[in-house]
Amino acid sequence: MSERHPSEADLALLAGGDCGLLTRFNLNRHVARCGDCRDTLASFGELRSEVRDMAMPDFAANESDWSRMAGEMRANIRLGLAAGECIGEGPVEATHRNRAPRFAIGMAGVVLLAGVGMFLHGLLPHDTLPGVVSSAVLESSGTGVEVRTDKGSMTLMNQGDVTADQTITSQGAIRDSYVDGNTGTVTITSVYVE
Amino acid sequence: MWNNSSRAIALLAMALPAVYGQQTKLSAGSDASSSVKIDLPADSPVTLISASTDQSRVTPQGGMLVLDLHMSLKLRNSGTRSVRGVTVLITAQEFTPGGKGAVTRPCIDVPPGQNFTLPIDIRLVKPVQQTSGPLVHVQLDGVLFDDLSFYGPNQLKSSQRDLTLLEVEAQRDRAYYKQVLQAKGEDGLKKEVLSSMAKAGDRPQLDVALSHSGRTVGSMAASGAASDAGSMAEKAHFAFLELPDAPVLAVQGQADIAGNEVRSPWIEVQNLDKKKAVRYVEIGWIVKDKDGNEYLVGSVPGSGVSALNTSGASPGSVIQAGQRGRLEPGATLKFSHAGRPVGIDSMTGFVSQVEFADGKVWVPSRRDLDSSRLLRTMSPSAEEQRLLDIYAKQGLAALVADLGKY
Repeated sequence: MSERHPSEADLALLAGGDCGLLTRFNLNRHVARCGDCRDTLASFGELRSEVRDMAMPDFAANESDWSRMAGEMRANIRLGLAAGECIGEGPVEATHRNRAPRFAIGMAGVVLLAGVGMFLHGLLPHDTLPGVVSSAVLESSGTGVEVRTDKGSMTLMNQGDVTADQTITSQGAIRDSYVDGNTGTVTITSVYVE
Repeated sequence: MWNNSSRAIALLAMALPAVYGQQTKLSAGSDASSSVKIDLPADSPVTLISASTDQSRVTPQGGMLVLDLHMSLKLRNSGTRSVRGVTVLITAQEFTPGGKGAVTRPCIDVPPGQNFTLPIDIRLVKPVQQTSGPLVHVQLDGVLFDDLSFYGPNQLKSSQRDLTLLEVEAQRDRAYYKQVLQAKGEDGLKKEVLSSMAKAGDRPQLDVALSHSGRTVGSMAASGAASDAGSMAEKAHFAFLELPDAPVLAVQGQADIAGNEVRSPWIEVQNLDKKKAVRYVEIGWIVKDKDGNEYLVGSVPGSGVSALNTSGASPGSVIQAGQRGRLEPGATLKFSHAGRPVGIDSMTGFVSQVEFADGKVWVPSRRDLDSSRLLRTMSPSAEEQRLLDIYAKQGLAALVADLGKY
């Protein structure tokens, strides 16, 4: 009686240590007796090593980098799904009994990734923080001093309950002078916007 | 498989707070491994005794790190002269709005060998990057001594001038209150202090937005004013208050006014001194609105023109003795009060600070400040604020004792 070969996806999961106990036992038993699958498993192991050694990109510092990365992630997910469909349509002799749970798991993964993508998009620099821009507006009011850019605004100094004298100089600095009532210490704090 | 998914979700749940919203404490030191690196030159006349960063936090927000610095540096005067003021430069990120700051402690008298503290409370931002080294760099930028000599790299370009101006104002105001005490006794001093406190409390406040390039993009109130005024700008001339002792005369000036917005102001000044060149002039502004209310801009945010360009020359050059120069900051200012735009009817200027090329400075005398009703509402100097605060918090005896110290 001829034994069916496991799918490449199962072998990839085995190479990454991502199988359940029973599946791993069955796969290992098959691989021990099948030279072709042993070679496939070895190639997946080499591929994992190469990926692990690749340099990771720097943490994105601005919105355009994040958008690019998010776009690449979405593209990779689509590519992955398309590749999965190709595998499914091919002549691989695979068992069909696990299709429904795998589809559910795959969809759950897609939903999770989409959710994470949306959450990460919410972390992008938005209208609460100034970006790195060439021009900025200083705005002083009774509640504090703000730096305002075309990306948004942010309070740099907040008077709170301290009596302070605020000055915006035409050289592009906010200057906040206050006296500490307990120590009598005069402190002048300046933040430069340009 | 489900076990692995659960593990991945749990790891994700733990990792995300590290990226978003989690605060991290900062440590300070003179070594590169500290998150706040404190750097004093080897020949510095002040030495670092200790640094406390207990309340300092860094919070990632989007692509930025928000650094809330609440530090206290304990320094020692290891020089031979009394220290009257110190400025430190604090850099999180050059060329980023809000990435650089400075903290000055003026109005002190620290004899050689004594310790003093420098409180640092400042918020800075920097982009998130995978870079090694400290998050914040604290450097000594200047120290002023009792003989008005200066030590420091003066990277900010203005530390020496600012510390000297603060000290000269402090000497002026201490001398004034000492004179009142001597001439009129403690009751006279009390009356004078109460009068100064009343004037400080009566100062009208303006909210100011300042932009260096083109029109400001400011607040809703300001936007409303802009729409009221449309884009029709009228050229308006400055009027000037002449101070009898000023070494510089404001000759003429002009700005484009549209609603509550002042664009492209310029002021021509003349150096009246017959020997010394002038390196820096600052003009205070008094703004009058359409209802006749007057706001002394020099005592509220937006102290007016402070950049110096001599005619046809590059910034930073000097006005030679007897010559004329032109102040042209290239800024746009926008005024509002209590959330409403203040339509500008007229502007008055006066010379508020002068620095000569030899480093000496001039500030208006108390007699100058009393010469006009408008100038009486000027913001008190840092030293006068301190003296008034001593009276308010500790009483007349403490004020008299402080005036007797130096």
